[in-house]
Amino acid sequence: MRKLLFLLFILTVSLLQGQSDMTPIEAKALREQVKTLAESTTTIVSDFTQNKHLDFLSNDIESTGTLYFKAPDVVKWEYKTPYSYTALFKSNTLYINNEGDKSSMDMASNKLFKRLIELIANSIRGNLFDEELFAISYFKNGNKRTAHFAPKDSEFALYIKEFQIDFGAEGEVVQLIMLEPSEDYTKIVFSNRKVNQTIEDAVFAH
Amino acid sequence: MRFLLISLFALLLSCASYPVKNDFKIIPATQNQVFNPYFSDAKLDYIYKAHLQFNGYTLSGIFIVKKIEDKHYRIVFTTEMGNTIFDFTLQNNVFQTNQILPDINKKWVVNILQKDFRVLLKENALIAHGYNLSESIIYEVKINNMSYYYYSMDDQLKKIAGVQSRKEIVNFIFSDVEKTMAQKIEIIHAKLNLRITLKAI
Repeated sequence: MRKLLFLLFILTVSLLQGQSDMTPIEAKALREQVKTLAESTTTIVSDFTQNKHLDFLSNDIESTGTLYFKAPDVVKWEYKTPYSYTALFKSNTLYINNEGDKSSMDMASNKLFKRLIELIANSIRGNLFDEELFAISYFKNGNKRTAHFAPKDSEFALYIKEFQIDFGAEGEVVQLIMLEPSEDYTKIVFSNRKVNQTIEDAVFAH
Repeated sequence: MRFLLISLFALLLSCASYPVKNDFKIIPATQNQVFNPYFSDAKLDYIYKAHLQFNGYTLSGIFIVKKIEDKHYRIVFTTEMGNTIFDFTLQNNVFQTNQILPDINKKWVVNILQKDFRVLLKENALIAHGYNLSESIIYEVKINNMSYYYYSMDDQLKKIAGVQSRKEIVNFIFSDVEKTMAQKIEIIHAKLNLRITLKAI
């Protein structure tokens, strides 16, 4: 009976522990896997579900759409529900189509916004493993692997406390959380991911 | 003589108050407060797709209001991707800025926004005078030393006009009302060439 109780205790502790730190070897393996995948990726098309969590709201604000990425740095977020909105980052310019109303913004003049866009583009590929820019910590929970990226730039850290990225078995990004200093966050879950397919030029037209 | 009378009449008209200029008929107010229901339900999350146009410049995002409790609100504006542009708390008529992007953090911008939000979120305002015009009932109130005219038709608040020097300087227009939520709200500052359009999502 005592042995049974002890085994139950160990099992409970293991289940409760859940997430644990990766070993340095595991972390290195993840970085290399992500890097190899990023280097071999020319395009990504993926559906996404975005949830904006604000602590004072009764429900998260949910939106859905499709992401298009073309290496090295062209990214298009196309929101479909509950509104039609497209943000296309291309050649240092942000092109917006807001329910048919088109506008553009030169990102070169806005350092903070430009950096945020670059980070989001890099986070899509998981390509944030830069120890000079981020304090990085690595976690595992069963088959799930997660890395947390905390910006070292104090100005940037005022707006983003941490990027938290979940990686799939092949090193692909399956979930991205942008955590704000207030602990509010935006969570983006990717699904139906297609890699290295031809994307028509019209998709990135503006 | 006739020319003098016409000139005097024109002069008097130009000096006339906003109610007189617009031919309002004075009526006795049947209540002492006017109620703005549009952000009054603490159980609701008020989420709008927002479109801001200012002198040819446009900004869009998600406009979020939550009534935390009586006279206590949270007002947040984010990009469509969830990044916070500004985050205010309004409690007992006092604003606290929780977060704001540097580009927006200009005193005159913040003043306009906060002045507008005070009016938008004022649930009960003391009536100074009552009027009617055609099918509209209009109540004049004072908010922070400025006159605002609440236009209602069929017991539904349609518009709030902020008036200074007898002219409308800001209009809050409520349309497509479902229960206590206006599906569309426009805030129009004609002189500043500033228009904010909110559509419920």
